[in-house]
Amino acid sequence: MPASRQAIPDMVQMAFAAQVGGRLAEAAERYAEVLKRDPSQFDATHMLGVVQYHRGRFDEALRLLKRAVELQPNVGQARENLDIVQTARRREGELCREVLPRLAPLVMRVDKLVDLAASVCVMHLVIMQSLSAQDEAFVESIVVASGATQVRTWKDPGASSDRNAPAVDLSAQSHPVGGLIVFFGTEFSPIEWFDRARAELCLLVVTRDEPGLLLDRIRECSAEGSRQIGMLCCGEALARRLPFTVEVLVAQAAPTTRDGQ
Amino acid sequence: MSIEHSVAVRSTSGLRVIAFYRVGASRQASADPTHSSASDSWLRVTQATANFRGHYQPHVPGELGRYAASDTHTSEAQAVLARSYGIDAFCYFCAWTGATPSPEIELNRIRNLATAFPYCVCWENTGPARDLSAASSQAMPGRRYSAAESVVFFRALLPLFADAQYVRVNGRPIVIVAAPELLDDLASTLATWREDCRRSGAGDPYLVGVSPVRGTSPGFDATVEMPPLGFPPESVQGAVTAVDPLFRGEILSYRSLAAQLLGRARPGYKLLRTAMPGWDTAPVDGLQGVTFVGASPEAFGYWVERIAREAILRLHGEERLIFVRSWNEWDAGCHLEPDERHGRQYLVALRYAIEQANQGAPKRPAWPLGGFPSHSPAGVAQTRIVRSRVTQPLSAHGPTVSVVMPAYNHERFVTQALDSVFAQTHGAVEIIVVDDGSRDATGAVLDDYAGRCATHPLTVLHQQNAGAHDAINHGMTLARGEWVALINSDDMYAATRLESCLKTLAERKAAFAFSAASFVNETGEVIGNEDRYVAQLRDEVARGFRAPDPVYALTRFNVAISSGNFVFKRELLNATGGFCALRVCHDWDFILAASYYTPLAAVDQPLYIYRMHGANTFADRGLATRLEIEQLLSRFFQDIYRHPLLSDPANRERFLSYVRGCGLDGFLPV
Repeated sequence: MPASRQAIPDMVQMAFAAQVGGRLAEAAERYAEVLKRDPSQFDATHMLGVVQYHRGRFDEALRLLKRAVELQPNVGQARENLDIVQTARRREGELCREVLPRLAPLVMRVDKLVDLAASVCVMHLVIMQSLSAQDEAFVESIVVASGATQVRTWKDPGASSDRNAPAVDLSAQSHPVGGLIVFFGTEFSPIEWFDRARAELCLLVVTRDEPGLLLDRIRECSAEGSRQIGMLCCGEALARRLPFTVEVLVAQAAPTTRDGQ
Repeated sequence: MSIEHSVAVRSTSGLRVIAFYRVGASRQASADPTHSSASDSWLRVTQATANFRGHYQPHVPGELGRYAASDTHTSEAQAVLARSYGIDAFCYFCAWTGATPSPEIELNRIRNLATAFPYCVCWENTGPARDLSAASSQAMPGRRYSAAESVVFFRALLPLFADAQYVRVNGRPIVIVAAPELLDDLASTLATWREDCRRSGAGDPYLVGVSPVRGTSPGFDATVEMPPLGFPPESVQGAVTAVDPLFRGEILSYRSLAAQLLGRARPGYKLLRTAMPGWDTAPVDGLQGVTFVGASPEAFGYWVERIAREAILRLHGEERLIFVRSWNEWDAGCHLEPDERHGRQYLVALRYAIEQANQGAPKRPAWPLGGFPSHSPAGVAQTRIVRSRVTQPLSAHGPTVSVVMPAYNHERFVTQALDSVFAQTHGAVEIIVVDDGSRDATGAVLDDYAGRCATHPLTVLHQQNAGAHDAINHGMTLARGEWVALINSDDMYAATRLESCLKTLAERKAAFAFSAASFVNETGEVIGNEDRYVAQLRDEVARGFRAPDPVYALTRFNVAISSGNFVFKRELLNATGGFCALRVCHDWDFILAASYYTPLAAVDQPLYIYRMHGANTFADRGLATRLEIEQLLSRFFQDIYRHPLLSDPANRERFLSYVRGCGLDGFLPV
């Protein structure tokens, strides 16, 4: 019988059978059909949330399970399922925070950015994230604080920065080469072009509290643990949450770095 | 972590690490020796291509090269390498699926390889499809095995048990079954296995079943994890850019899987835990490959350390086993063996993790601490003391109480905390504040306060950051009062707190007291029960006050809430020792230790004002906290039969039955 003519309880039943049988993609489709016809159908909302969790789609699972709890606040099972997904998410964050101190040997202390910049002939500032107004101020601070005579600014192709900077483009062989590479942000991975960049020194500027991304970027920028990288942190509050001693960058036009200790 | 050792790690705890081992670089080769040659297998591994931006493929073998499965020289080199990084044995996958009349060919290959190193066998009765395709707990349905087939497999295994290198647990040869649910007549099959094994002279086998996340494997002696099977890891498909538009595989979070497995509650059965260095089936599945991203030696090391610590806490004697999957599943991107990219980094991380775990849980330092302040990591050079000048002392009666306050980054609250101590109706008070390397203006606020304080002896000690437990210990070394009362630098005392606690302590002839608490927010307003978490907290605490003795409730929850709520006789420290280096639960550990030496007086008035703000709430028992709780409960229960609460037989039975009812019987000494 076409889905359009089936009764909703039957559709839910068939979706549930697919779910129990481990046919998760089919179950998801069937529950979605139900929700197309009745967006407030509790069982489909609830069970589709569970299915999406099992498919690893946590954002979608959270949205659906929260909605299910709204629809029927007294159904304990929906609340418990929501709690399972929320806990899974939280646990990953906890794990990242626990792991971060293990990368401390890869992070060297940068006392003065100006000293670092002075030891190389060119500084490549690579914008790795979308920039807020405050980020822009931090970027300016880096340029001023480094005192570098040659600064080339780039942006990751993924970063929707308004800066008038060329995007790293491997096909055009356009990417930083040599010198000090300063990665502003942790959102994108430089790994695709990083080997070709042959950086003399590498500095990571941390702007947000994202331990998972930080873990990945430290590994990548340290050439998978084979060398140390420098680190700067935008703001004191963020620096306090990092397990490394890092120089704190204050978003001002003048160079106002100070010891993060 | 980069320091290289050339000698084998000697475990002080008896913990053994077993790495799963696949004979041949690919599971096709392993499952069917005629299927492909070793060079074909390596070709598949080394010619894999990246499916998306940043995808680490191919994994090119490092120092051991592209060895042949039957190469005994390589197996010797593997044994040396494994041993020197803390691996005690290999567990060979034997992928007999009934395609041949007997698994003897597979088992003989294992036997030929296993001359140089301890080993055991895992019957991979799932066939190669199960976990290659199933990244999550959705196991593929597999072929079932009749009881007769299972017996054929086990009987072929019996000659291996005569080998001195075969791994045993308390003399029992260990055998792992990858999918117990695929064995027909499981109970009678296992009984036949055990009978056959005894008859052969090898004794009772130690049977281990791989089990999905929930539940044990019935009839088996233990259950073992086999990641990536387990909890559904989060998909990170949206976070990567596919290189090939035809890519139809899955990209999953390694850390999500590890975190969920590590977040499992302590089970009521014997669970042998397994860590995994990575997983990526691109060499076999190409554009349909399942790839876990976010693996690193550091994350793997943390995973290993956690499961090793848990094994030491939960298992005893020769059952203290952990597993690593795998030594060499190259076509699944799952290998400890060095590759060109990481070299020995995963092995180094493994060894470091085992060394850390073998150090055991932090212990309470013996009291008095040896030589102030040399015990502290901060050391003398980093310590500075500022004292108040008491020119207008208040009249003081009763015993002197040394109030000790560890302070860290609480510039906004520390003045209110001190004011609440100075406003006590009990006047005989000295105050010692330890500024634990605050990064905000807490130190300056404290110095200013001491400079203005003329009514009380106030000592401010500044030290390098060493943690709350160290700051408390440091402060207590300066205490001269008969009693010690602690307070957090963001909390407050009710005005009658010390007077009421001392009165109750005297009435109950106790040396330790804590009170009920009220909960306030950042601005000092009382948080009501409309806050779900605070309501739960109040319930838990109330349970502590209703219990026959606070110790009952303390086995489940720290009903005293915080070390700031402790008032105790200073000489109690000689019995308990100082606070131990647990990051979160040093208070809970201390109060449980105190209960061995004194009744705990619970004062049922909200005399401690606990401030909930930012990150100081403990709504969730995070990964780190859960381990600490397990460590402190293990220590508490270690001598439980000597606890004064159990000296009376009726109380003993009541307490033990309560403990069992709470599912804590696993902590009771055997």
